[in-house]
Amino acid sequence: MNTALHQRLRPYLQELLTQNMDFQDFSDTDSLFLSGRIDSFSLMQLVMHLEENYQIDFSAVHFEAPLLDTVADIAAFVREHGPSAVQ
Amino acid sequence: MHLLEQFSSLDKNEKVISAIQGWHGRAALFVLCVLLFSVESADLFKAVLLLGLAFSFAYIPRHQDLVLLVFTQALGVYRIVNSSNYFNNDVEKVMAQEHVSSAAAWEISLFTYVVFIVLAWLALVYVRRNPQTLAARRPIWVLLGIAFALLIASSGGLLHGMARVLVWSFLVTYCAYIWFLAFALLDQSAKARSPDTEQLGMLHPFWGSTTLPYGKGAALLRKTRATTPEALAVTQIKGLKLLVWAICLYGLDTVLSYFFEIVLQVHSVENEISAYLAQHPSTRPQLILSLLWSQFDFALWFGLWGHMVIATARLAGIRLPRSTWRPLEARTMMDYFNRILYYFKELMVDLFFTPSFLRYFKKHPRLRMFFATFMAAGVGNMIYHFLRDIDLAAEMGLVELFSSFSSYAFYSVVLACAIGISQLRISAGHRPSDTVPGRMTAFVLIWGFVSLLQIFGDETRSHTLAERLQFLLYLFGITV
Repeated sequence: MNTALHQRLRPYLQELLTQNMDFQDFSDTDSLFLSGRIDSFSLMQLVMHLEENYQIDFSAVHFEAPLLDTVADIAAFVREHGPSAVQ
Repeated sequence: MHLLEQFSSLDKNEKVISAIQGWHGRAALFVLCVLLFSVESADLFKAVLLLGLAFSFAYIPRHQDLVLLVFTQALGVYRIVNSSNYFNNDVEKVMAQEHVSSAAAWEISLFTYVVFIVLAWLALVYVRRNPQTLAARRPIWVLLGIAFALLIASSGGLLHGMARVLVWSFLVTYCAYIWFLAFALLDQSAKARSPDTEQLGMLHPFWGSTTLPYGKGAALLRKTRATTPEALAVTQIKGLKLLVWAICLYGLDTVLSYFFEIVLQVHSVENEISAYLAQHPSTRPQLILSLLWSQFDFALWFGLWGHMVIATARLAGIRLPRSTWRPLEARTMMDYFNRILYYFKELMVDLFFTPSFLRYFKKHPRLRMFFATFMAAGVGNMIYHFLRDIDLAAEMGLVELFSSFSSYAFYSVVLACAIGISQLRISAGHRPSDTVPGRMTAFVLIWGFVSLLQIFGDETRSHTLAERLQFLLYLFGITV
């Protein structure tokens, strides 16, 4: 578990949820996408955020929405595909 | 009110959850659901059959992929043999044109169905073993290419007699399954992909669907299957709640249909356009009422139908998200489609939006978002509806089939632009207001827009784009 990475991801996810008028708290394992808390549009905003901040080339990896369902999933995805993410 | 609160929190009631896990509770739930299901379908046998499969699937804990395959394919064959499938009617039309009578329509449908399923399985194996081929990298465009090749072969005057009947029969089967197969092919590159038995079991799964995959593909199934007896019980109670809500919507639709169509004599949009073109237009308030009622009726039916399908899936122990969720509360155009046609929006996003978004205009964020939205709401929407109504090729021929589609194509382009602009506004920080006036404004703008756009989105193809544009202008007091 990379808690530092989790903490870096959380503020942006909180912002996405706030945009969707969702002010509830979320744990690292709470479903955000499959539960409907983050819609497809917000998911693409998340993709752009990960591209810009973690240098992930999404066109080069197999991408499916459930891979970014929870904070833990996103962190695992970043660890796997983002060379600059894990310090 | 207290009863309503108790019912809405039924899936959190420990006693009920516990009761549903015992045989008595399961039997009572089954009987209750069959009775509710029969109210809408007016077919007790269908209710027992569908829910019997759903409950059996839920309570057979082992080899569920195989059970899913057997149930789904058995139901598919049953519908063809009993002519409760529209394939047979489509095949009969071309058999009559080609004077083919050496076999029954259902026999031809069944033959091409079996061929399709075998080919679908071979396609999964091929894509998996050859990940660098075009079919693996661009499965959607390859599937669409095959569809249009089959269309030209069967309706372009190239084939005659039994050969045309067979290709036509394969085409209508193929188009009914194309989006299901697309999800299965996309899943082949997933790390935790499902076995082929499950992929083939998700080709029109037994809990119901149209040409639209309710429940998407095996990838979503993996994430949404209830894995413990308690989770299964909770999922089934959620299924019961949704079924009850569907029956309420059915009752509401029956009452409102009587009120608007019998009492107020509100006609369909198509009839209003016909009357206008025949120089007998209704008054403008009547036309506006017709547009509003048609849109509301459309929303009610989609909600009702989707709830019946998702409720059946939940009774089978699959925690699928709802197809329709409080559409009147939509605050942006994308939000509207997300709420009213969730699985259609998901299909468009997964197969058209996401691939476009990930590949093109990466250095131009706003153009990137607009283009991807246009590919989904415009291009994908157009292709979906064109292939859904492919059976019209038998009556119209190729030229008329394409030319009569111009109105829906126009509808798709306008819709795509509206959603795209809405998305760009959100990207630029324009959030819809959360105040009551803000919500009211969003409601009026969104529902007013989609109601007006219905003039072009009607799928009967009985009027040209120019005639519909004239009708729109007349609505605003402009006579051409």
